[in-house]
Amino acid sequence: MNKQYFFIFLLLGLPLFFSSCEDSVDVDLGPPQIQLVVDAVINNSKDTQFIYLTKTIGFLNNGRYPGYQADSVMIIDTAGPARIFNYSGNGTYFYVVPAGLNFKTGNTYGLYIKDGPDSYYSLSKLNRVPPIDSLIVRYKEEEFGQKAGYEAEMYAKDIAGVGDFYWLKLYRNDSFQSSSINISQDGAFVGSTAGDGDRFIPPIAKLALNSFSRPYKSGETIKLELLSINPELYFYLNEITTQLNNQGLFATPPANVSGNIFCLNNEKKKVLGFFSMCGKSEANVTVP
Amino acid sequence: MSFLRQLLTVIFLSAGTVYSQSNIIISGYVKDIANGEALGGATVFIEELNVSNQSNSYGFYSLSMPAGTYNITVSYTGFEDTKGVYTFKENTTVNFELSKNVITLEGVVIKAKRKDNQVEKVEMSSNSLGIGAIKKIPALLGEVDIVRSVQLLPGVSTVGEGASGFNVRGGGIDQNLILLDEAPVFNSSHLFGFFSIFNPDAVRDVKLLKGGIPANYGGRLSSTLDVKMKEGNNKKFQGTGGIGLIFSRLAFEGPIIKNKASFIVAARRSYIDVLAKPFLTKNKNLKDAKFNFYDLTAKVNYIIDSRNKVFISAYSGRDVFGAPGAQFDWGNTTATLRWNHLFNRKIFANTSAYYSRFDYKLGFGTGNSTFKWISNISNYSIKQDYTYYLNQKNTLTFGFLSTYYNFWPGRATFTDQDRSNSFGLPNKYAWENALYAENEQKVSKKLTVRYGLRFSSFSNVGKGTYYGYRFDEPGQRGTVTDTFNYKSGEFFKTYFNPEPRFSANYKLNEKSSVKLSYNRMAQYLHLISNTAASVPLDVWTPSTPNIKPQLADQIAVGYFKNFGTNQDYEISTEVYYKDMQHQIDYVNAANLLLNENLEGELLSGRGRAYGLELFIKKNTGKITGWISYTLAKSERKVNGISNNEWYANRYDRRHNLNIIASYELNSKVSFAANFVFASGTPTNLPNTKYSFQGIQGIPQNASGLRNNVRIKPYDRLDISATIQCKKRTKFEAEWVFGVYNVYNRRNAFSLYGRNDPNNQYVSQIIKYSVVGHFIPSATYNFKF
Repeated sequence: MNKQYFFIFLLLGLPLFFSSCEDSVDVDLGPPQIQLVVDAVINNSKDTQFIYLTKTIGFLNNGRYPGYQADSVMIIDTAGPARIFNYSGNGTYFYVVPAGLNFKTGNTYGLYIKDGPDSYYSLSKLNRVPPIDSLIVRYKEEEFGQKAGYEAEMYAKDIAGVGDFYWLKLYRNDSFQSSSINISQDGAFVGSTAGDGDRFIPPIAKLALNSFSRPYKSGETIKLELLSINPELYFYLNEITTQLNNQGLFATPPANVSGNIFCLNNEKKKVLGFFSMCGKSEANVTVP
Repeated sequence: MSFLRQLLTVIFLSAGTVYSQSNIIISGYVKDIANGEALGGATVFIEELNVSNQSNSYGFYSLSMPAGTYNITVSYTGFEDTKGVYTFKENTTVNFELSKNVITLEGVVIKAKRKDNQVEKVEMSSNSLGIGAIKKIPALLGEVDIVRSVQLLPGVSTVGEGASGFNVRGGGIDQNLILLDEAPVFNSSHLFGFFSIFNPDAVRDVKLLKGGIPANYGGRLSSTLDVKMKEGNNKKFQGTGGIGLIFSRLAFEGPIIKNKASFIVAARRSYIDVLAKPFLTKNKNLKDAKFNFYDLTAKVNYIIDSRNKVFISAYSGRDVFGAPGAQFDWGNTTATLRWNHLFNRKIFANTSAYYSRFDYKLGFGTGNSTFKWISNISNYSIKQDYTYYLNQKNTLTFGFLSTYYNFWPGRATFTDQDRSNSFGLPNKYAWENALYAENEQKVSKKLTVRYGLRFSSFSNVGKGTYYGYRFDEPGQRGTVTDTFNYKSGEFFKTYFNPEPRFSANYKLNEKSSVKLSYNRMAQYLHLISNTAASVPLDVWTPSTPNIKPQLADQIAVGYFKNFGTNQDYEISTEVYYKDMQHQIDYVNAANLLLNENLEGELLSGRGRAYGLELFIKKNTGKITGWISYTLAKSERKVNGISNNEWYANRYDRRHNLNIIASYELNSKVSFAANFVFASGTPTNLPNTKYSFQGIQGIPQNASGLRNNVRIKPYDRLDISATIQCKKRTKFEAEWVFGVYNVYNRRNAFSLYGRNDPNNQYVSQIIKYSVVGHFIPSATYNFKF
């Protein structure tokens, strides 16, 4: 996190001296080797749960990711029946949670995918999640070049005891804001357990929920999901953030983000993506 | 140790057999007549005996010969030769004073025939640049720059504009030992890498050693860059200075006691912040912004008597960037105390004690919510070097170096309201020692050899904590298995390395020679950095039980020739092969900053680099300059990376061509140009992408190959014109006008993939250019 602040800081200084610039260029990246991608983030709510299977595409291909249909997709419950996901086309699998049979906090679940000769699996524990006490909006005058408008803030408290990892998913007018991946350890930044049992710190509970250039306007809707995630998913998302913003003079070598899904019958076969069970709290607000 | 004693004995014995008792010794110093600066590397040639000797870096020389009358010529590049007839009956001190080339009205340089340095001396793979030559090269924004000039020499490259440091013969930037009056400099850059920390007004000369490195140097694999500060004019007071676009410079030098003691003080400061202030005050966020860098260099020397001389030199420089709620600053400090002592006419000794430190501080936040991060490395050294001019045929050098290191790799403190949390790495301590002996022997009129041994050791010293790691899979992060704690002063790991050195020069005739060299180097300090260009945040880390010392073996062969009526042209061509062990690489997505388990992120591999270098230089006449061309390859192989195959280093460049020329139109006006062409460096790019949870375009390099794509070649032309203002009795001034990147080329520094911010389904490869167009400059220099 701090590294990013630092680079923003650097970028502010450098153009004073030099006319550094960025141009889009055409580069031969070689033939793409296509891989299977599993996107399985399941929560403990009563809502219908989804798993997506897709294939990678060439980096400079601007098309959509093709869906993929496997033979079967299920989540195995150590203390109950297997939950079979149904295919609805375009790589999408869904599971309607029967009343009273929500996924349970504290349980460990297994993802199992059968595809011809290959079978893929992964394990994940469903971790505890605190409630969102409130999600509020307040009007703010123009400040530091930021336009006047509404800003949002969440009030929630981390559960006492270190080792809680969170992902705060923000939806603005029902559209997921994927450009900022807002993750936290014990209500603060990673590596700092100082926030344990305390209120989520402002960079996570406020700064990350607001756009500097585009404050909220009247009538907009804001939805915030607070997901308790596995530490592995935390690092996975953190790594995705790094890779998506790895630019400029001090870029580090791009690295592949490793997921947690394995091929049972052939360990050399690499599958991308991630499986995580999550606890979910949700809050909504409409800007007055 | 006993090996060293044996070696010394052998050298003394073999040398003794050719020593004749009837000889007398002529010794003294070679100096610049204008200011009394020592001229190191000058050739003192006795015509009747066909014997020559090079002055050492303090200007001292010593020659044995039978009593008699001799013609002696003393020469030094860029200076007029001194020639004279001398009669010696007994041991005599002769000091030579040389003056710079005088150009007559016709523009012809008056010169005597002389022995040329590069054909005569055994040293190879080296380049010396006087500050005069460096000042002629057109410079970025008109700022004369030592490191950027070194980048124009054969075998030297850089990953791109604005990158800190330089790469020598396929080595990393941390494999260069940069010495400022003997003290090592850990970060040679201002503003990340655009300017180097050396003030040109305080530098006398620079010498780069890339191979056949003598035994008195060690500690880095690839090169030694020896930057020598001026001693200060000991004849008259003199001021120099300049006003450029980036820096203002002022230096003052002069005698404290005429011909006995002198000083120089030089300062530089960037002043863009001062100029920008009126514009920034309008913006309340930027009103208190700090943005400057400065350096201060000072040196004093005192000739106590004919046998003793002391020097004290010091450097301090800093870069400061700050805005309300944020501050980032870094800098180097060095201090050197030196004592030259002549035991007798044959034994010259120098004792140095020095200190060097690099540190940075980073802070964010105001009031009761702050984040602070500090890191530093410092060392204390003592060093002794002896030169024993045994006889006409043998010159023996020996000495030792002992260095104590203190590492503070980084500690961050996060304060929020009344809570405070501190994390990072514990201090580390280490002790490095080296003992060496070397003899330069004139075996015959044609053959000169230099052979020696450096024996180095490095110990990790407590107090310290060190972790044991288990690496389950090659190329993957290690997991901590053990923790070891050591008490203060406890030695917990010591490495020893014998480093043999050998060079030979075989003269084919008066104007050409072939040379051969071998050296082994050991390196115990490593700069942990995996960014495209090194950043000031990068941390130096010592060898530990987990990080083995880097080792390099290098062989080089070269052919050297002079031609032209006055030996105006020097040509050299060399081939080299370098094998490097225990090269540091990093796991994918390595976390290198403030990571207590840093050593689990490091991989160790093998490196190899080889190449061909051509160098043509013209030192005299109206047109001077050089052409250097390098054909090279630098690769490494690391288990678990790039499918376990050899892959090109980030700084691998196949072709590298530099043409540097300056033309003196008349005594008032001169022009200079500089052309650079270099093959592109390799880089990593993704070849596929995918989506996860609505996050689009996550890059993937499915080939698994590192450095899979090559950036387009780099080329650039710079020009400059220097115009002398009308001379007044006590004041001289000149204007330097320049254009950097004349034909407006957007050279790529790096390539990276990204998603279009406006459409997440569109991915692009972006070419990042540090310099986007031509950059004009004007600089005013003065002297009084």
